[in-house]
Amino acid sequence: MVSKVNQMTITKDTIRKISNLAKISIADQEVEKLESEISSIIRWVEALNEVDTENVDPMSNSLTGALRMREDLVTDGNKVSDILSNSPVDDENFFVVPKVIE
Amino acid sequence: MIDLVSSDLVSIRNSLQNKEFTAVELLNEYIDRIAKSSKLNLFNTTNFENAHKAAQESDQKIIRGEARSLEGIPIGVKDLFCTAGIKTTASSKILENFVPAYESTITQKLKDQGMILLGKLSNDEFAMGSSNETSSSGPAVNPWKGDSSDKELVPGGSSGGSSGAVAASLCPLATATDTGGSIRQPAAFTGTVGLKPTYGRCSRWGIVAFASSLDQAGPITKTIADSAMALKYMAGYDEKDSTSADVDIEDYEQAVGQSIKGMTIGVPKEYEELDLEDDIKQNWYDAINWYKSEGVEIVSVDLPHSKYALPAYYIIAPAEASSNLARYDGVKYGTRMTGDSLDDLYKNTRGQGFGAEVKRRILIGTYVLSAGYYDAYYLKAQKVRRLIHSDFVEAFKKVDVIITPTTPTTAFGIGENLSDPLKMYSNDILTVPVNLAGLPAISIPSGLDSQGLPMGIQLITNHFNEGKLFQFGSVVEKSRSSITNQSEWWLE
Repeated sequence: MVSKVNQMTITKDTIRKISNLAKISIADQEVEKLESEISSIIRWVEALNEVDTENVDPMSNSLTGALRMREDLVTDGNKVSDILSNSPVDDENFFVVPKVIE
Repeated sequence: MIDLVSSDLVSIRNSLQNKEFTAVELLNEYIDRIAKSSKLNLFNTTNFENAHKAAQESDQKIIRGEARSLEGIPIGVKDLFCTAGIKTTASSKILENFVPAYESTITQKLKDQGMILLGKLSNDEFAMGSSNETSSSGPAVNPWKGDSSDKELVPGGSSGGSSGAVAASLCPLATATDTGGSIRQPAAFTGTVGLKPTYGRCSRWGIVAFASSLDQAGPITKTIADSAMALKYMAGYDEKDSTSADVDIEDYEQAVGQSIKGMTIGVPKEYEELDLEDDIKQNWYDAINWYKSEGVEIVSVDLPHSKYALPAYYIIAPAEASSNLARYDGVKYGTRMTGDSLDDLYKNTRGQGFGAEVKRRILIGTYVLSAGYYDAYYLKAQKVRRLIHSDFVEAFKKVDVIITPTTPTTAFGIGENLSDPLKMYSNDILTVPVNLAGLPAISIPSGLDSQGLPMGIQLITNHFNEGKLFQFGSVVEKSRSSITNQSEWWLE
């Protein structure tokens, strides 16, 4: 039942790779601690491999039936100042970030 | 002088309506008590000035005979509910200065009935935790202490500010949220009543999201009658929440204390094998006997997949969290840490803005969703979730309600479990299955252990049957021994 992919161990490189995917900077001294903590959590959740889930449909939430659709209509607007009110840096109704294009 | 300690939500509503005291008098008493309770570190933000104006308006309405259902009642709100114009931080550094431009549906509904916001209550950062120690404002403290101990205890989490504030009589009702036990476990640790409604019963709109398929709002109160009264005003369909259920609201208040003679209660065999404290196990058996004395039939039920609930939860919840928390990027709102590139700005903001537990969960979530691992972890967990759900569906064909303890232990000391994530996670072993299945459940104080600390009994029932929880819950409330917290050690 245990598939090969589950036997992958988590290394310091794994931590660096996923922290890059998650856009979270991790200090070098944190990497080691996270490696051991996340390894033990992942080993623990692998208990699920004991369960036979052949022909079981995945369940994404407990509601029965499909999510409700609504009409694609504009219901409010003109809230520029509300939207910008928490912005760390803005200018002329734009959010400002470091230069992206050279 | 109003005796806040012996007051509850229902008694306060009645006293205000009967003009035994005014909303302003009541508010002043609460403000005074909150000021004397700073040792508990329960409030992130207070709202006293606005509350004062609102209380004056409430008194006018009461005089003019225009009082709404909850006119002039002060409440506390978990700092996860957006409140327009009032800081909402999720107890995270990354939102430390965030002031929402809009109001959550739940708080709006309570305000529309005349409730007054006392302030925003501490929680574990982004509701991730079982001890309220991961809050950026420091640990919240349980008003309870052991009989012969001076040790400060956690109030449970993530809604530890809410449970602590109700237990310390700093508000008669606090809103809270429950993703894996975050209403029920803190209620059990503080001798309060915590209700996690059916998924979809209360709107999630305007609540800072953690794991959207599990998150559900509910009340923490002193009594079951209070819980029923609170749910009446919190429940309901909301078109702004795509998973809000359009299901009729029962008359919850009327359900409280209704006879349960001839009805059935289920005891899950598998839970007997769990590592429970002796006092808690004994209390659970006592509670089963209380039901027997009421003429309820006791039935053994099977929940064979329940032991897989925690591992499934610790894949699903971090996966959803890693997606939900992607929005905190330091660009549109929240704390920003600078960087030479946009990528560095994101990484620095998130690296310094999130605390250790939140980062750990985002990383786990990112891992289980990443290419090559999705099927092995995330999809597998979702399949196990289906099996856990099916176990309950089968059980509720046989019984009206399932009874378990709420937690495996009573409240533990601050700092005791922080260094061991897996030990901390095991706190939720009895509560997590309910969230995965989307069921309603309530934790009711059921007595004190040998150290004099509160224990809780959890009742679980079928989807949208909250009334049964109130109906059955009354038996625990009337059969238990006294749970009064005699010492008010924290008052200054």
